[in-house]
Amino acid sequence: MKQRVALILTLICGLWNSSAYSQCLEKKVSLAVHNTSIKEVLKMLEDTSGCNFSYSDDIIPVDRLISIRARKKSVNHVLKEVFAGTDISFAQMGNQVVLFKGSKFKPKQDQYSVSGFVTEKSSGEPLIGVNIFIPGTGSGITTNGYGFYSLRLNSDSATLVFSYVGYGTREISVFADRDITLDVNMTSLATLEEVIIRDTSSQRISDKAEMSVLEIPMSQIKSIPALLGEKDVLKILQLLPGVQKNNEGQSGFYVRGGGPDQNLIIMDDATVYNAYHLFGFFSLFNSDAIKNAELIKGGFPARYGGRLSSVLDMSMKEGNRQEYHAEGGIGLISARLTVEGPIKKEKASFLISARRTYIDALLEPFLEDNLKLGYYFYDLNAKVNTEINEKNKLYLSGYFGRDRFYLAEKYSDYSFGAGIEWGNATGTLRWNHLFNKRLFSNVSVIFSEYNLKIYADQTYLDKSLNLSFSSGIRDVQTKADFDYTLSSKHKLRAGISAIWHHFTPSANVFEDDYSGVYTENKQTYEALETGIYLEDDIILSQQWKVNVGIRLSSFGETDRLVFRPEPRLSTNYKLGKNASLKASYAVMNQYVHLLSNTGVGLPTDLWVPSTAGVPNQRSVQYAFGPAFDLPKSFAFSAEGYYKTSDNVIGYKEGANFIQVDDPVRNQEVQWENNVSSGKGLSYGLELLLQRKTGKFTGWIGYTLSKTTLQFDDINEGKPYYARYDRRHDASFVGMYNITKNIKFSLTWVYGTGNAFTPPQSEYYTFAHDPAGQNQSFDFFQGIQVNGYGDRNSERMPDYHRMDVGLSFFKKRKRFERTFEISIYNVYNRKNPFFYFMGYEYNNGQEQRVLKQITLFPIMPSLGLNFRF
Amino acid sequence: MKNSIIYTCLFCLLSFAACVEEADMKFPEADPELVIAGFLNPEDNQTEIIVTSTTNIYGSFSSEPKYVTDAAVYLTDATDTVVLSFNGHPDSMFYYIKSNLFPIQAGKTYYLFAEAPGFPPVNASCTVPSHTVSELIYGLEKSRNGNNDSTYRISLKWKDVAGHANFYRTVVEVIDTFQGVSGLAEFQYDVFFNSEQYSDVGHDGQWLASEKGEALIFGQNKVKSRYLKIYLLTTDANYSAYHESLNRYSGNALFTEPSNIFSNIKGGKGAFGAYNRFVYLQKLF
Repeated sequence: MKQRVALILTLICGLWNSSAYSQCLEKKVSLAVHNTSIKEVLKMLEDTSGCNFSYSDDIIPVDRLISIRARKKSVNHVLKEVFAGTDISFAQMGNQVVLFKGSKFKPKQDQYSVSGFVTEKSSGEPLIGVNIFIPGTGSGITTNGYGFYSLRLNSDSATLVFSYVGYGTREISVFADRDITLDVNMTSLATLEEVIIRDTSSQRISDKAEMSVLEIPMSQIKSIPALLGEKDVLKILQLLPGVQKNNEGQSGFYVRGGGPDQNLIIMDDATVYNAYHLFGFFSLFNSDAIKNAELIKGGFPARYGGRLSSVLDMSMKEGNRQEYHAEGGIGLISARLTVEGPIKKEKASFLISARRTYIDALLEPFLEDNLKLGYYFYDLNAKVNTEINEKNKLYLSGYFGRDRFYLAEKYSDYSFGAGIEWGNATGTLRWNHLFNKRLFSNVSVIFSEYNLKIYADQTYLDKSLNLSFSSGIRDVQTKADFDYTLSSKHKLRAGISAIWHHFTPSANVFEDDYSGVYTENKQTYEALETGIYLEDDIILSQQWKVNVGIRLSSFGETDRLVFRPEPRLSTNYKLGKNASLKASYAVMNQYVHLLSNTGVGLPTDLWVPSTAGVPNQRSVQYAFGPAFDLPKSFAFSAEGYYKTSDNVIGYKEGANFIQVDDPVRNQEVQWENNVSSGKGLSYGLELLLQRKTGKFTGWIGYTLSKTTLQFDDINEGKPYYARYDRRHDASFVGMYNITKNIKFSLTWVYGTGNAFTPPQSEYYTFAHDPAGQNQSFDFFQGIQVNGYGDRNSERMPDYHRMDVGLSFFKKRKRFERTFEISIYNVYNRKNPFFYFMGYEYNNGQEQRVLKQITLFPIMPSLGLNFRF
Repeated sequence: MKNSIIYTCLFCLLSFAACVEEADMKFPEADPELVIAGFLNPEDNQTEIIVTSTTNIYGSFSSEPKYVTDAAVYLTDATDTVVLSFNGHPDSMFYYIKSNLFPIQAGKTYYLFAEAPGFPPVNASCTVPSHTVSELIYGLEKSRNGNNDSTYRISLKWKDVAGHANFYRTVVEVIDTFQGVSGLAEFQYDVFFNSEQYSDVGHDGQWLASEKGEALIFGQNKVKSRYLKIYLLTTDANYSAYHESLNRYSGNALFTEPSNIFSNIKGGKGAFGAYNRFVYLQKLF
């Protein structure tokens, strides 16, 4: 390792003009030194000639003392004198003069690779998505999900620039006569005190081949004001163009006209099936445990599949490999604590993060002794990792979280209990293996489960009535991914995955001592979903990059097996130094359906497999647009998209999946009878102006879009607007460092009101009673029903809201704390959550009026975060 | 300071409660329309059509149907056209015609027209199924608990008539007779099926099966006899779709996508359908 590293000379330097180096060996210099080390002489030569020397201290006798006298001699001449009597030779390579041992140095093009891991300096955490590029060549790459990169060099020497939002940019010159390893650590700007950030080269949007990808640094997520102070990565995503929020205050999101079921949410490779706590008002992702979050809304790389509209890929922190740390916070409704540290310094580490609400504890003193009523949720994230050796790393991570509502009454001869519980559990075991400098692999075994249980128990004297309903989905997945750097022009990725799905749409138990009835009923389905992919990052020229890929997916259930090819393409053509044009094309298939006509992320939502009757959903998306890097770290992008979807599922008129099964009668309701397959069409324009670094950061986003759906048996077959169709959607997010320790943040969001279907009339309707005793009673006096117009033909009022936050940071030697004040909905906008017809008495006459539910008026909150 | 933090927390907690208030806006209302309910059956001794109207969604509320008493209702089979009479009894207002004046025949198509002052006219048509079921099998499971109550689980199988697009409806009753104060009395228990509507799509000419229906029969010593009564209706598509949508209707249920009740009435709401009835009575004891 040392030998190889010894071949690398790292020089931290500023950007230079390459022309300064042309013919530098022929430059004339004057020099007179006596008993001076070679190192000092080389330094003087650099200063006087402008040449840049690349060498290794292990090869060059830098401490040897020499005496030289030269007047108006060429650098070439002086160097020959310096190394007279040694086997050191030199040659000009591109921008620098390389000093090497021996006399036969024959540079070869496109032969050697530089590879390694990029980590954060203070914690040893691998950094995902670090941009690594060679200026002026078009050659570049980003670190993968494990912080690994491998880059082929066009020449034997080059300057690599490492940039990452929130971290100081590093430029490292390398010289290589073989494949070399270069592990790099980067320093967080947050830890660089007294430094004014001028990060001009980080994450240049115009250089990236991919489009429709949104990344938000976790530091920004923690800075943006949030409802009740609960930082929520999903709610921050809603502030970005192309991502629509669900209802007021909720975490569910819609991407480019797709439903919430069409978002693939993965954490450490494990699919998270129900990402919400408290009926969708909070997500289950604890921001303290998340390292990285990336949302892909189009131009999907072939390595991703299984959903139509987006991929939200999140990684948990690995745990600090250098020293022990704890961080946490106390908010209005929850407290959280994260502990991390090395198990073996620089080799292995752990992280445990927990969060729990305490609404139940606050409520308990107000309840009578014989009554228990409450709600809580908790999360537990844990991760350990170890570097077995240079080529092998192991990671084991898991998540476990639950929500529970409960009610219990107890008297001397009677007791009653009821509740609803739901939660996710995931586990991921990953093995990183480095076959060689060019071939990296990751093999994962993944477990993911979501389940729901609703129960009610009643006991009177010695008899009881017990009822329970449960549902869920369980996945066991194995996958292998390979990254191979074929040449400086081609980087290949390939992989294979298999997911075994076990669906339990319903499992009922009914036990009644009174009637002696005991019934048990369980519906299960099993299916195997597989995917195999190949993708290639191609540099066609200095201006033109392409990511092309193909994914072959399959889905097999009882007596049915389908194969679907999914071609993918995204490309970036540079227009000058700071602008580019991007385009993408992606075909996606989705083999699992979410039965939920509520759209609010309720725990009762059911995952079911695609079947012959309800086939897999499929979409084709095109996107196109320019990207610009602007002065002062601003970046601007515009993207137009056009997406068609087939076999999207809708819910037949009147279907309500909260009543998907009747546990009392223990009768199955066939979900296939309640859903309908149709078509979706979505298109729009997204604009994003953002600044990721500097004293003032944030973004302005705007989306103009239209989403329509068409089902043969809904709305009389006529197309209609999706509920989340939003013609205009705008957001402003700003964070400003008032001082080093005080940060102000503000968000403002605006959106066209949700489409919905209000009643337009009311009438009685009569059902026929075949058992009627005579003609006059042959009709039941029916129910009072509403008459509606076309589906989603009306709009709720426009939505808008402003939130502000102020955080005060204080750092001691071993302790940091941040005190936060935030106000949600600062101007108390009464945004409608729901409308319904209500009753009011006016002069003794009952009147029907339209009523509006507003969930969150102006809501201040306080929070305290700490770290030591 | 401590107090101010407590007050702040209390304020935050209280403000968490959702606010419900009258909306400062209204959504558009539809113009009034006639609502028709009529189901033709060749066995009936008179044909009845109920005519009501839609009402405004805002303003005064009434829990009673808004009958239309001044409508002109016509029935025709394309050969004869009749005007229906109005029965104004407060408990059962409907328009009717005796079957001897206008018989309903299996396999025939009938047209309905109705108009009333202040409403747009409406029309609809339906075809009476030409046949009925002739083969029926039922299954009965019975269990009893400690209170002497019985649970009856009943399933039906019947042979579809081949060559037709058929729709069916199943209704089952358990009828107890007992000695009442003034003579023999009956008590009827509905057997509850999750869905009563079936079609033969994909099963033409085959045996069709209902799901299992269930009824809880209270233990009584006075029961003299018990009967099982099965109604199996062969219906037209309008009848089936209308009753299926009534079964699915969830009204203003929170978060449920609202939907209209099926209607085949052009210019109005409601349904005009037809059926043939097959009735089977079995004495259980």
